[in-house]
Amino acid sequence: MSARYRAAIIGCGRVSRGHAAAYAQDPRVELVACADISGEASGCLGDEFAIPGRYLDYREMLLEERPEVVSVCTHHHLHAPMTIDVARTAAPRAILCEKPIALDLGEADAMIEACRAAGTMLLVGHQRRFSPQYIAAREALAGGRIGEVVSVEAFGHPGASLLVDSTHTIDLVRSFIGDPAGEWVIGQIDARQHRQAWGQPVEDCAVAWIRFQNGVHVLLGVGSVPPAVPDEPREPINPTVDGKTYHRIIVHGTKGRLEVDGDALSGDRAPVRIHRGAEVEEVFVVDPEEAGKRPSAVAREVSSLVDCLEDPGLRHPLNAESARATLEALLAVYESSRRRQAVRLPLDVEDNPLISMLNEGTL
Amino acid sequence: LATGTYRAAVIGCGKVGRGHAGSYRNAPGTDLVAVVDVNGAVCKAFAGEFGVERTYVNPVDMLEGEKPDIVSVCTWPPLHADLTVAACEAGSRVVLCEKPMALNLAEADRMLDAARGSGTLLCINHQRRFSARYAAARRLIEEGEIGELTQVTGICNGDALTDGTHLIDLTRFLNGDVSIGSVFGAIEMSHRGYVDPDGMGTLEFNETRMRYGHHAETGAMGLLFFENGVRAHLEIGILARGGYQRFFIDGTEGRIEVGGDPTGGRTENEGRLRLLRSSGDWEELEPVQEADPMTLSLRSMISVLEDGGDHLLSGESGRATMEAIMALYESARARKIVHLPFDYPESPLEEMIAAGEVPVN
Repeated sequence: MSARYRAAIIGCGRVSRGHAAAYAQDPRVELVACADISGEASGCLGDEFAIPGRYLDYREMLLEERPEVVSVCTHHHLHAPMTIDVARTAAPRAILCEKPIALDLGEADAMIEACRAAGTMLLVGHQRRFSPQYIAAREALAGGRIGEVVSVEAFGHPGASLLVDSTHTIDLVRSFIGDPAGEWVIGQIDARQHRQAWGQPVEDCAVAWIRFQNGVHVLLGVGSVPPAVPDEPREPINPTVDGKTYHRIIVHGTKGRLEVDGDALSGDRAPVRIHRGAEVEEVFVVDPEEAGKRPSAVAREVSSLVDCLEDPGLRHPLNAESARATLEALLAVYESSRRRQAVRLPLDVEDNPLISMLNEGTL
Repeated sequence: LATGTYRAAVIGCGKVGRGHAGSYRNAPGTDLVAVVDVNGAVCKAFAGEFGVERTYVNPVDMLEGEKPDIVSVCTWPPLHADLTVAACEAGSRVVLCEKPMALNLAEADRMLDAARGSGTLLCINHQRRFSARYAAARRLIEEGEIGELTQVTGICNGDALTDGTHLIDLTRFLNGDVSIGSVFGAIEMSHRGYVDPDGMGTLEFNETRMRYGHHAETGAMGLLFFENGVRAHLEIGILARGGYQRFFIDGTEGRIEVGGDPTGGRTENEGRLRLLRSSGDWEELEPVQEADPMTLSLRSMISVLEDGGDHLLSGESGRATMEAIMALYESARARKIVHLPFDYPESPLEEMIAAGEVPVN
C-alpha cells in the first residue's frame, strides 16, 4: 500500500520522537520533513527516522512540502501561534498539536477557529487515552464493575504541574467518567518558587475539587510542597507517586474502588486493580512479550487520525474541543485561586490567571 | 458522687445551652445551680424548664455570686474568649466552652493561658468524639480493619468555624490526633441561596455573610497533610456533597463510611456506620451509644477532676482544630500551602473581608 498522506514535524525535541515513530509505523503515512530552529536537532531526528526534508524555518517547510498532516511538537507557548500559522499558511488535512493545547482559552479558541476556517482537523496529544492500561480501566468502569462512580482522586508526580501534566490526568479522568461537562471548580495553587517548564510558568503544587455535571466529584493534587524554610527540599504532595508512575488515579464506586498506577507497568502488582475491601481483582496485567509488540499510544493516536481522514464520519477522541474542555478545568483552578472563590463553568476568562497573577506580582 | 459535688452554671440559654443543661441532669455529681442570659425572660423560662434556682442577666454577677465549679459557655462565639477567661479567673475548675473555641488564635491562646493560670480544665465541646459512630470508626482504624489508613474525606454543610470545626476535630480524632503538617485550601463566599435553607442562622447569613456573630464562608475545600502521611480532604458548605459530619475513611484494605447526623432522610446513609471489607458488600455496624455524647463527655470531665488524666476535648486539642481552620483561611488568602505551626493571631477570613479581598456576592 502506498502512502497517501505526507506528514511533517515542527520541533525536533524529545516528544517529536514519538510522533516520528508513529508516522513510521503507519503505511498510509510518509514522514517527509521536519523543522527546528536548531539544524542539529532536525538533523538528528532526520537521521534517526530517515526523514528526507530538514528545515530551519517551518514556514518554508510548509510551502515546499505541502504536508497533509503536521505535528506541532514545540514548547507550550508556541502551540497556539504555530498551529494558527500552519492552518493559515498550509491548510493541512490535520494538525496534531502536543499537549497542552494552549496556555489560555483565548489561544485555544483562536486555534480551533483557524483550523475550522482552513478545514483542518485539529487534534491534541493526550495520547494516554490510547494506552492499554487506561483503556482497560475505562472499560471496567463502563461495565459497572465498581458499581456507580461516586468520586475520583488523582495525584500527579512530584515534578508535575497542572498544564504540563494534569492535562493528561484530567483528560483521562474525563474519559473515565464519560466526558461530562464540568460544573464548577475550586482550587488553590502555591507558586512561590516561580518555576518554569517547557516555556511556561508553572506552580509548585496545586489542589482542586472539581464537580462535573454528571455529579461526579474529582479531587486533584499535583506537584511538590515548597518548604516552610527556604533551601529545604520540596516534599511530594503524594509521596506514593513518582516520576515513573506519572500519576495515580483512584475511582471510588458504590461497590469498590478502581486504582490505576499510572504509567508504572513494571511493578510487582497489576497496574489496574479493583479493590473491594481486602479483595483485589486484577483488571490489567502486563504481559512483557505482548507489550513489546503493541503499537505505542502515539502510534494508535496517529492511526486513528489517519482513520478519520479516510472516513469523515469518524470523530477522533483527541479532538481539540475535548482538549479545550480539559484546559478549561485546569485554568479554572488558577482562576479560583485568583478570585478566591469557586468558579462556575464555562470559564469566562481568556487569559491564563497564573501568568497574569505572576505578572501583577500577586503571587 | 453525691449530687451537688460539682455546682454548674450555664451561660447562654439558647439551643446549645439546652444540651448542656440536659447533660448536667444526667451526669452524676453535678448540679446545675444557675443560668445566665442577657434576655431575662428567656433565662427564666430556661431555668423553669430545667428546675434551676437562680438566674442572672450578667455573667460576671453570676460568677461572683455563685463561684460555680463548672461553667458552660454557650453564647455566640464572639463572647467565648472573654467569658472563658472570666470563668477561669473566678476559680472555676472546669470551663466547657462551646465550639468554635474562638474567632482567632489570639483569643484561643488567651483562653489557654487563663486556664493554665487558674488550673482550670478547659474543654471545647467537640462532643462528637463521644458519639459511638465516630468512636467505633476510630476503633476499626486502630484495629487495622481497613489496613493502613491513607485518606479521610470529611463532608459537612455549613461553614468552617460553625460546622467545619467538628469536621476537622473528628478528622484529627480518626487519625489518632497526629499533628497536622500543612494545610492547603480555598474558600467561597458567593452564590447566595446555595446554603441549606433549614440551617441555623441562614436568613441573617444571606444578608450579612455572618452567622452567630462572625463572618463565615459559603463553602470551603481543604487538604490537610498529617505528619503520619495521612491526607484529609474536607468538603464544607455549598461545595460539600451533602451530609453533616459525614466521612469516607480509606485504608489499604477497605473503606469505612460514617453517614453523619440524621437530617430527616435528605442525605444518603445518614446515621449509619458501614464497613466495606470484601466482596463489594457493605457491612452494617450498629455501635451502642451508652449515653448521649455530651453526658459521656461530662462524665469524663468529672473523672479527670477526681482521678486526673486527660480529656479528649481539651483546650489544647480545640486550639489545634482552630489552627487548622485559620490555616485554611490563610491558604486562601496567601495562595499558598500553609505550614503548621501557624500562629497568626488574627482571623485571615475577617481580614480578607475587611480588605475587600474576597468577593461576597
